[in-house]
Amino acid sequence: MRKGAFFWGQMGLTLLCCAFLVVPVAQTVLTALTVNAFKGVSSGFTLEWLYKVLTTYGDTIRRSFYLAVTTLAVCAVIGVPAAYTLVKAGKARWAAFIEESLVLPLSVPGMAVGLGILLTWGGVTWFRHSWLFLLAGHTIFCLPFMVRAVTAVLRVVPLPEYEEAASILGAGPLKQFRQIVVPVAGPGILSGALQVLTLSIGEFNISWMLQTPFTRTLPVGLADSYASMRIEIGSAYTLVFLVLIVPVLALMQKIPAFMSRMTADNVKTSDTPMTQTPVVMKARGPLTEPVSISLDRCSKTFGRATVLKPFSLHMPKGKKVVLLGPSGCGKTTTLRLIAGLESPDADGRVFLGDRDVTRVPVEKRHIGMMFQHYALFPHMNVAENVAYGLRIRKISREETAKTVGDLLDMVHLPHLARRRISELSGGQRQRVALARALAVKPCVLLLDEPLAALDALLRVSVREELDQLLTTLGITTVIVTHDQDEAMSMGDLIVVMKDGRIEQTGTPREVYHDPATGFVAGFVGGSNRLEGEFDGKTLHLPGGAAIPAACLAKSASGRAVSASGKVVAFFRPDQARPTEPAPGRLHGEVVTAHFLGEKTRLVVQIGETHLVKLELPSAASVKPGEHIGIALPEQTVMLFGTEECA
Amino acid sequence: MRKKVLLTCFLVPSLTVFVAFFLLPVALLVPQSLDTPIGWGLYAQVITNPRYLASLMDTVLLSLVVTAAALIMGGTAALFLERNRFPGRSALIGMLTLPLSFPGVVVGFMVIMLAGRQGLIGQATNAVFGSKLVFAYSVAGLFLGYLYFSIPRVVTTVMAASGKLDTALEEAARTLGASPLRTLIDVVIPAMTPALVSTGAICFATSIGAFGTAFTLATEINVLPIVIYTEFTLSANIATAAMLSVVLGLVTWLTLFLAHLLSGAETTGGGA
Repeated sequence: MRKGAFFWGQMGLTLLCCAFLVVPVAQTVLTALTVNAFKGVSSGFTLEWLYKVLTTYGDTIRRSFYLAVTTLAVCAVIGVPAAYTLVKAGKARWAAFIEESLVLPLSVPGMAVGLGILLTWGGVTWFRHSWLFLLAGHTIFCLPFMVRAVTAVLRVVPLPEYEEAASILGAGPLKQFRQIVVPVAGPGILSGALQVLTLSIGEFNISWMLQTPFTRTLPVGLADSYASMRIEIGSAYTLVFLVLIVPVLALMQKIPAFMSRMTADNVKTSDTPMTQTPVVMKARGPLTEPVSISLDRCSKTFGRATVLKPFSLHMPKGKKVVLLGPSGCGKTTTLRLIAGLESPDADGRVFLGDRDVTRVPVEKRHIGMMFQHYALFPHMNVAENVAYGLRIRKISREETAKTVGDLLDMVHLPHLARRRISELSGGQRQRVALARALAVKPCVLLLDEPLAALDALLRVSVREELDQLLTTLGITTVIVTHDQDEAMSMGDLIVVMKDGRIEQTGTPREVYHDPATGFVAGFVGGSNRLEGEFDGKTLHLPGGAAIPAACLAKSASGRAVSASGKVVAFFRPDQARPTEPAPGRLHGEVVTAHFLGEKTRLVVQIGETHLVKLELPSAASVKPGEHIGIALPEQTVMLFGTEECA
Repeated sequence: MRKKVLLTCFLVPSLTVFVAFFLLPVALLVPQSLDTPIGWGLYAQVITNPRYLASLMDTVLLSLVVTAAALIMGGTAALFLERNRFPGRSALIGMLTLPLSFPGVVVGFMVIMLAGRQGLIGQATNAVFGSKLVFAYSVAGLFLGYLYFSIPRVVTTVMAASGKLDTALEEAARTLGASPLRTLIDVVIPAMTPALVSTGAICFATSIGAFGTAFTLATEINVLPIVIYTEFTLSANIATAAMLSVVLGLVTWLTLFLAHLLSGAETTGGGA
């Protein structure tokens, strides 16, 4: 692109700004190091001025340094916990108010703050005369920067997930703070610390108001040297100040890089199935004696919203139980009730085997859980993540190393033990998360959408590996998913949920062939849904179709359909066949016909508004716009009363 | 809940420090300012006393001009550096943000280096015209000083904000036939308004409260912080100093608060 006047105009103004800011700095450095400020560089270089500054003002420089370090320590010790509480409070009004208050000292000129402190506390003589007086002023000025830097970091990391993961591995609140929150907040603490250091070293307004002859800091000394009208001394002193803060400023430039290493969210894009050949994870055999899980009369309300209606559910030991349903159906809440991350409403009881764990906090339940986004701790490497639960349990170093080695072997990642989490692909992360959950030999394993974070193409192969592994381990596993393929292929038992209620519990076959409700019929197997009327002999569907009773599927549960009433009919896309239109037959116009390789998918419009899907062998050639009839073989149409399908 | 207790305890030290060394002292400025026989009458005097009134007006006016200049210069530089990639770019960014951590006194000294009796401008004009141009201790010097600490603040904020701007918006404007300048006026500046408002407010508030710079320049202009300082130290006029501090604090706080309401962006100062 040709660079026009616009470009050069901007460039000129930018350079002017730079010159304006930098020329006096350069001039200061030169003046500080040359013999005669008037004659300039030609008069030769000298360190005399610097030496004079160090002897005359040495005490102010040392004092500023110590004061900055102490201020930093105080700000870190009181600011980091406060920042954590503020982040944990989320959107609560009081927290927002406190946060706004804490930064208030930055909105009021230092003069005014200094004057206020002086008038309020100046009467306390010992305090007034000690350096603690300055420390108070510096802390009030620097604290907001520390709090802001730490909250900023803690707000972008998935903090609740990390904490939940740590608590499931056995860490109590204080341990979570020390071992997870503080390290994760690392970049924020560092950034805050560097800001506090530069601000404290350079703070003038408050320091000037609060100073005594024995508590003069560097900027106060600077003002003094400027007032002395000796430009060489002033320059040399300024140079000392620059030398002090420039390394801190340079470090600050490194923070973004440090930050990105800590936020492990950015999954490497190289994670395509092409580069990652599926591996077979092999377990040596059962891990622990499996236990059953029972939920007894559990319900869950958040405020006024009922997320789970009262229900009881028994999950036999050693089985893989899938909680299946659309989002918001309460399946994740159910999983969290088992984990102990939520507690049920008053009457509910949760049992692991015979043990009533309703009142047992999550860190004491001894379960394994894999989170949807894995919640691997970004400040620990692979091996440290897997070992974390063992570390909490104070298992010996040797035994921990052996267990971690075995587990990494099992998930085929022994070569990545020292890798950072941010350097792993999505599939690798999933396996590390699984290894971490299994390391403590949990009595049950909970998997929250275990495959959702993976690439669609990777999902099927990982699903098969995972399924095999779980079968070998023989551990009672609860899997939450919204994907019916996943549910069908992995579950020994499927619990279909909707709107906080269990619709059906059964084997995959039962759920598919004998859905208990219209919702299950529609949700599992992607059925077509048509509303109609049934008079006991014939089913009347839109477009004038009359379907004989022989076509209706027999139900083991004996679905009751009123002899003459409005009903909802379901049939599976692969069970219907296109044929010639004929009187009484379901018929319609083909809207789209997509060739998908092994099959062809048709969308057919029935009557004015209804669309149904058909799946045909790909050999069939049907074109959009054709008018076709749809044959429904015997026992393929599932009928439900309308009230069941609301 | 053990966790709730822990979280509450975590907040206590910070709040204690905040109340003891900010809330209480600043609140106590008000009764201190009323500690004269005339009470609230002192506040009425500010409006009638030409010296205080002039000082307040001068300070506000100067801060407004500085803010406008800083927004134009710093904003242009920031947008330019964010939009273009060329060798030396990061060095320029470094130069523009270095003075962020300079205390006000150092900024004052920088102005002396530029426009003081032994300053660069003085030497240059002496060499060319035979007479020294010295303006460090006048309004112009104060203006330069305030501009010096304002430009870096504008540059950092505007660069951060424009970095988040979707460049496709500009490209769309260009494909629709807008010149670079029109694109800037029609697309970029409207999108950047919150950032400009907040950084402008910060510059304004910082300028109004800037003590160190004015102090170093020992200027002929009595800006408000200097008046407060002289009232307090030289005249030992504590009530007036407290009162002017309250006025100053209210003005800066209100500016930042209004900007925060208007732009929704982070607006906190940091003294100079």
